[in-house]
Amino acid sequence: MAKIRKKRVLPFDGKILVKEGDRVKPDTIIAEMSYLGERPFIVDIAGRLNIDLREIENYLTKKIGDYIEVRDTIAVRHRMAVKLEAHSPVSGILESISPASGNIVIREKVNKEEIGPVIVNCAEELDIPPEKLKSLLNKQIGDKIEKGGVIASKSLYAGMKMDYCKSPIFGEVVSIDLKTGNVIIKRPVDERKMNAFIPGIVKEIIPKRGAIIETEGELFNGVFGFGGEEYGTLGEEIIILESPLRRNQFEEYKGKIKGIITPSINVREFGDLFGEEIKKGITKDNDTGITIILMKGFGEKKLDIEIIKKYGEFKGRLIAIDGRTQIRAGAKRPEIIIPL
Amino acid sequence: MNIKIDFDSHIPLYQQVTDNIIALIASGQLRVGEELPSVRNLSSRLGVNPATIVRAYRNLENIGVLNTRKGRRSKVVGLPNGIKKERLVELYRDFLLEVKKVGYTEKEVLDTVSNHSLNAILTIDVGSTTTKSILFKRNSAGKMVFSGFNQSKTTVETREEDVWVGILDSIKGLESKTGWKILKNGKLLSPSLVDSGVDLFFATSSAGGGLQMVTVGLVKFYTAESAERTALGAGAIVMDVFSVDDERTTYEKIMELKELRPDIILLSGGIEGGAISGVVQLGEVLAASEIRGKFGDYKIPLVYAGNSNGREFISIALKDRFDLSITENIRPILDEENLSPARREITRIFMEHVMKRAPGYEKLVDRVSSPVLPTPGAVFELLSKYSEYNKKHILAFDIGGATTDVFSAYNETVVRTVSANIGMSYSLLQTIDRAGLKNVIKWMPLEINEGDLENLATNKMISSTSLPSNELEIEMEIAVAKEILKIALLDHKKLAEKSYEEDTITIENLIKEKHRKVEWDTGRSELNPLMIDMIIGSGGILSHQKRKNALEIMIDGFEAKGTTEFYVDSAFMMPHLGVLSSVNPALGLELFERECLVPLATVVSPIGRDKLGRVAFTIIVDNEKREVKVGDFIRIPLSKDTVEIKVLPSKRFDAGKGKGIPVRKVIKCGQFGIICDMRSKPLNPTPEGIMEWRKVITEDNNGKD
Repeated sequence: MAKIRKKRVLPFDGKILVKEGDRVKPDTIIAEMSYLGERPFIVDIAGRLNIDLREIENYLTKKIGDYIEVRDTIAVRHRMAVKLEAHSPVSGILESISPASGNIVIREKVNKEEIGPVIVNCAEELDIPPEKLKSLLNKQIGDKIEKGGVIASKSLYAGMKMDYCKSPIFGEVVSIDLKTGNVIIKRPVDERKMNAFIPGIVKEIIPKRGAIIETEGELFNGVFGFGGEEYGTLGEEIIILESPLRRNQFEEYKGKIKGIITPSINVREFGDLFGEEIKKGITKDNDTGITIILMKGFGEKKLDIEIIKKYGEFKGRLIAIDGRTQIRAGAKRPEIIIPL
Repeated sequence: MNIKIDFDSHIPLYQQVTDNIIALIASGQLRVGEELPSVRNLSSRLGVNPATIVRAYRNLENIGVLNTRKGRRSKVVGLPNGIKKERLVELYRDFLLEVKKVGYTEKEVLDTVSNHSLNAILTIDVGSTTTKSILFKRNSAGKMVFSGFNQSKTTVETREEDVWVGILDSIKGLESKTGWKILKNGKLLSPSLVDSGVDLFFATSSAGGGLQMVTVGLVKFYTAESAERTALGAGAIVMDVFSVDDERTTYEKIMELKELRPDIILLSGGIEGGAISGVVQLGEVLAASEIRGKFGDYKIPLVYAGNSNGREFISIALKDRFDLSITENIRPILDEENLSPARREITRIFMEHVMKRAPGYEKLVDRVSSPVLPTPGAVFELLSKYSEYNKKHILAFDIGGATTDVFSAYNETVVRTVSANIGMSYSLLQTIDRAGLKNVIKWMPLEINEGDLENLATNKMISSTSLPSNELEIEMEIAVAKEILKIALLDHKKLAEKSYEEDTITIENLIKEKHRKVEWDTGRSELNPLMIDMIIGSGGILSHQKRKNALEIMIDGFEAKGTTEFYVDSAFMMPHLGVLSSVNPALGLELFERECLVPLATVVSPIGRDKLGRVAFTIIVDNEKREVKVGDFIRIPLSKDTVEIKVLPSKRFDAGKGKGIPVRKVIKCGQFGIICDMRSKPLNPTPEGIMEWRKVITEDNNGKD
């Protein structure tokens, strides 16, 4: 038995929900985040105003750090009787100005209202019965759409005029209801919650990112694995096989258990599921719903006596497994933790 | 006190007195604490004005060489380090003038001095699988020779996470094998003594996947390609090449850059005097990509090697987001490349930034005598020097765990290609995928089905550091290695042929580019196989397999043409000698030839076609003639070190100088002598055929294999 420390961190800054000394369970949420992925927009000011690259600063109406609304004027040039203007394609902060290229970069700033979901009734906007919407759609479910982008359009007067239903936000079309004419758009936001994964004590907080959890127990490593983190009861939700896992066994277990620890599998049997990952030597979470950990590798192998004995000892206890593997440098092998 | 004054010299008299006294102290003729003559005494002896002596003594007091107290004579305090060094430089310059008068160059002087002052050199190569250490020592005859080799596991896995652990293991094993003490309490003993220590410590590295770079150039065909060659020449794996015209939108470039985790970025573009807007725009794309490093939150090193007019703007755009360094334009004019400054900068950054971040590397970097080179960069240095000095065309390869490098030194151009994801362990499955299971199985004279081969190979891949433990694993390795050579050579020809052509933009060259065809088998490609003098093989597979297997891999893998000498670097010395040759070329090359290159055989295989059984050529060795027919695969054992051979091809065959034209060559005999290979190409092996060929190689070889 040994002290086991697990570092639990979010990929981007978020909110920490625990403090040092807190006792946690595997399903305790210790941190969460909402990453908006604000995009940079490069605007060619010199080109728009037809000026020398190095002169752009003389024509800008904003400076670095300024907040700019979409369609705001960002540069103006008066030439004889003509006024040339450049407008912002997005709401955001002016991040940089480059006289060398004549460009500026505006970093998108997303307000809460722009995250969505927003419901746009395109049937009403285009004044058509909902059932007619399908043939007028410019976007389908899963498509990305810019703010002001066209969701659906209708031709009037034999094409002399067009009527548009536009999106009020940048996002992804998540649903189209042809009965009501409603189209729902939501900005893709990376929302994640980080759990503790193992029962233990919060030993250290990593500001804005996560924490280190400590427990005592047994730690084993497999040689290769598939799937991400799972925890459950050994012998029920997570099982150990003494001989190679067969494909038909795997199909039977799907939906019934969370993890399988086995000596080996045959590459050919699982090629369609895991072939690409095996080739690269890097595996991650997958949609099979079962985490598999190989203790010996590939082919016809048997489990070590030691592991079989441990199984007998720890059957019925909580076990936490992580099948993610990386063979190349900075190598990571699949983990099995039995907290005691 | 012996002071000489030259009254005709342009040097002031007081200065001459000052210099003389310094020289006397430096040579030990004047000791610390000794009193100098009085002003009157010395001025009288030298025949100079006392004021001259006063000024000289005062100068020496001001710089701390003398100490004068009232009423007492000046005493010698000693020479500050700076003075000693200046004096040494002056002496060295005088010495150099003298030796140049009798015909020596400065290089010859330096090589001689350094050769005679070194006693023991330790070199380490930290590979992706194993860490190899080599000790060179001066023997009783005064020659620097190979003393021992050891390899141990590279410790990058989670439990150790410290490369230095593996390095120490390797050195400890080397100590046991050589009986030479190198470490004390985990620290290197330096300089060397009678029975312990080393004078120099060098290292190369390819661990952790090696150096991974992203290159960004203005135009795909010119600066982006030059940037890629620069990175490859520095020993890097190029993850992606971006350019303005690479058919990706700005947004796509940004998103793809975000996914990458390079160690270093190389940005180039724009010829000197040209417009800068394009390359600055590329810089802005890089800035907007928020590209992140492999090992955490830090500024990724970025080398700018483009139009010098863009430096200021690039600096403004990028210095806050990247660790920026600026070097000479790699393409100052369209038809000229200047890759060396950027290559050197990449190597410097590799050691200072990239390697220091990988766990345990800072301990290595702090101890080496010269910058750690990426392993392929060191081999590049060695081969280019060897080819240049010996006027030979060389093809060399290194089959690694993750990648395979091929180097060709041909017509004064050295080209390196990396076949990424082609290797014996980490990349084994991708290699087999690319070669095709059937093409691997055809080389194995054992029963095995595709499913079993997949399992076998996958187990090898996940236990990269293990060696083959049974016949099946050995045969799989040999088979895969042959296919690796074929794939890597093909990749190499594609890039190599572009480098050998003059890079001028003419309609003729553009048409040639479009219609260029690789014809290796008929010898018409730019990289002419008939002209290759030497093929050198390196890599784990060649070191742990028996020599006969290594030769078989190379002969079948390359299917060489003409008359080619085959060597192995079975002690992985090339990277070690590469880094040594960057500091001391003469010693590095001498050791390369004497200690590193193990000659295996000379393969004679003229190009041509005729019916099976017809005489292809006659070979004369030691006045003995032998006819070789189409389809033959025969070996001529030799017991000498070198021998002259004459190859008389029949009129349908070309041995290197044209059809029917004899070729005379002095060759190194090697363990297996001469192999005359007139098998039908491309080879189509059968299990029986493979066993027959193996019998030819090992029969009558005095049991050596």
